[in-house]
Amino acid sequence: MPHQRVLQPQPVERLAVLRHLDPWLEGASRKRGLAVGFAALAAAAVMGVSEAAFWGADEALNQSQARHQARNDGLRLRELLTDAETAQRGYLLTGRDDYLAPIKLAEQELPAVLSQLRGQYVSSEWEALVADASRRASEKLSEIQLVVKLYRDGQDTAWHGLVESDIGREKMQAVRDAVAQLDQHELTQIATERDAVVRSLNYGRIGVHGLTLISLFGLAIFLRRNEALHMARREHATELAQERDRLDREVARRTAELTELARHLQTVREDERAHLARELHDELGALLTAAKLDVARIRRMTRNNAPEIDDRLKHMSELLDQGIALKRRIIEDLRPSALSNLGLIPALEILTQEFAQRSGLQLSLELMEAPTDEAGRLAMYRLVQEALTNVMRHAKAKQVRVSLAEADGWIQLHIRDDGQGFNPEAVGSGHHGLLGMRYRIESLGGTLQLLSAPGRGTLVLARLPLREEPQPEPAPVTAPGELGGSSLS
Amino acid sequence: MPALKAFIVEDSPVILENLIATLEELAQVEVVGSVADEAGAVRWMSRDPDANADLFIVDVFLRSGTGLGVLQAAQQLGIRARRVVLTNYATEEMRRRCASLGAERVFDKSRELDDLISYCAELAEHAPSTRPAAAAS
Repeated sequence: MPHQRVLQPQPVERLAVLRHLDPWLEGASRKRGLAVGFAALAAAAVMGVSEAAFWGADEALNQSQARHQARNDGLRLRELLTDAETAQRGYLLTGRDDYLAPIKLAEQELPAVLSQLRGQYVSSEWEALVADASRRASEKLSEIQLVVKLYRDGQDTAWHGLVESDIGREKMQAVRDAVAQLDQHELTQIATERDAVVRSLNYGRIGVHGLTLISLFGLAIFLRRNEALHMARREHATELAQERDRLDREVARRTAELTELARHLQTVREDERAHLARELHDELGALLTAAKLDVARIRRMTRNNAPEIDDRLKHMSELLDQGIALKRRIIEDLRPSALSNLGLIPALEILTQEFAQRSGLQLSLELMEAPTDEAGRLAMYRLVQEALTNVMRHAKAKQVRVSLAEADGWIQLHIRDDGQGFNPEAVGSGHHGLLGMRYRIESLGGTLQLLSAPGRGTLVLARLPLREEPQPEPAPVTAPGELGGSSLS
Repeated sequence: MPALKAFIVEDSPVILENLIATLEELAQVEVVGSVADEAGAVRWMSRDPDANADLFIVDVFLRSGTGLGVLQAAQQLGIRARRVVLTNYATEEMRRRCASLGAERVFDKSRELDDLISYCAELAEHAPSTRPAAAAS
């Protein structure tokens, strides 16, 4: 069983492929949860880092804004006071009322600025300083207002004394110092907070970069694994395709072998039958005929003298007839003698004529010489025999037409009847005759088609390749003179 | 004694030998020659279509060629001698075919051997009158 051995390793190979593939498949499915968790974590980390940086920067900026506000308030305080003092001096020098506008502005705005400033520094280490500065600023404004009032009232000595005293200057200086200290403090704080913002932004930047790199790394690993998985799948598919092709070839090879075997068996069988038929015809037939001739001669000699012997000889002659008839039946069964002796077309003519007489059907023939070999002739003869038998058994036909022709490089044999037909697809395995014919025709390189439908008659269509027959050896001819002479002598 | 000149086309030596002996013994037939195939028979006939024989006894199945071919050739050559067929395959169809190719009778090799002998004997008896060709020559 060599084929068996060839087939055996196959399932094992396939299992090996699956085993090779399994870790990948299992690993991929087992780690999928882990990978999703890791990706979620990475995303959360990116968002967290970015969010923390944002809130840090946002808070620092808010702080910074408050400090700018406080600083502006301080500077505004100083500006209002300075403008008021300058206006007072201008008024004292010129006595014109339009110098008094800045003083009025300071009167209006100072309380709000001072209250804002105190609000900024409430409960801080600068509260006392701010309170002191605030108080001194109020006093300074009051002093300016007083000087202006005294000047208007014409109490020159009084306002001169006030202006010349250093009290006003000290108050102004104290406010200036406090504002300068606050300003310096705020600037320092603003710088510190800006540094904090930059730091926060840097942390965020580094975090996002790092996480992005890690994500890229993860993606690269994923792609690599994915590629490996695909590769393994492709390899597997290739192996499956190869396996399928191999099996296809195996099937084709075995089918060819079976066809060849069927052809060989057919040939052997037909050869054997032909051999037997020839033996029976040539040897046994000749012997029986010779015996018949002998009996005839003896009867002629004894007919008149001994009627009893003649009776026995007559009986013996009948026995020989039966023997010859039996021999003929066997030969005809073994091999149609008309085919081997007369050729295909006369044999088919005789076959169909006899069929027409036996069945009462109308047969029409259209037969052309078509070169084929012995096996082809025999196959066509048997096919016509089989088809006609089917027509007689099943078809209920009135007319049958048999045609043999050469067309398109093929020998085409048609047997068509006008009977009840059948559904070719519903034909069961009972039709071994036609199945056998199909195999036989195909083993000779031909094709056999059965075309039929219920109520439409049946067409059997066989095609065989044209084949020039090798010329037979010329048979030795006994010179008539020699043989005739010897038999005469 | 006027003998009937017969030529036999038969491929079985056993039958040929017995047939010659029987015909010569029982029917005053002189067998002037025999061949085992179609080509030999045609060659023999074409040598002298009329003078060689009065009767051709032809088997249908031969070593090569067929008896039908011999009959056809005889018809084409215008052989005036009688042709009869002696065969194992004396079906109705075969009889019809042989008759259409100019065979006067068809004898079955088993059942009708006696008829062949009688036929030959009768021909031999009336040989001069049944041989227009010989009478003319």
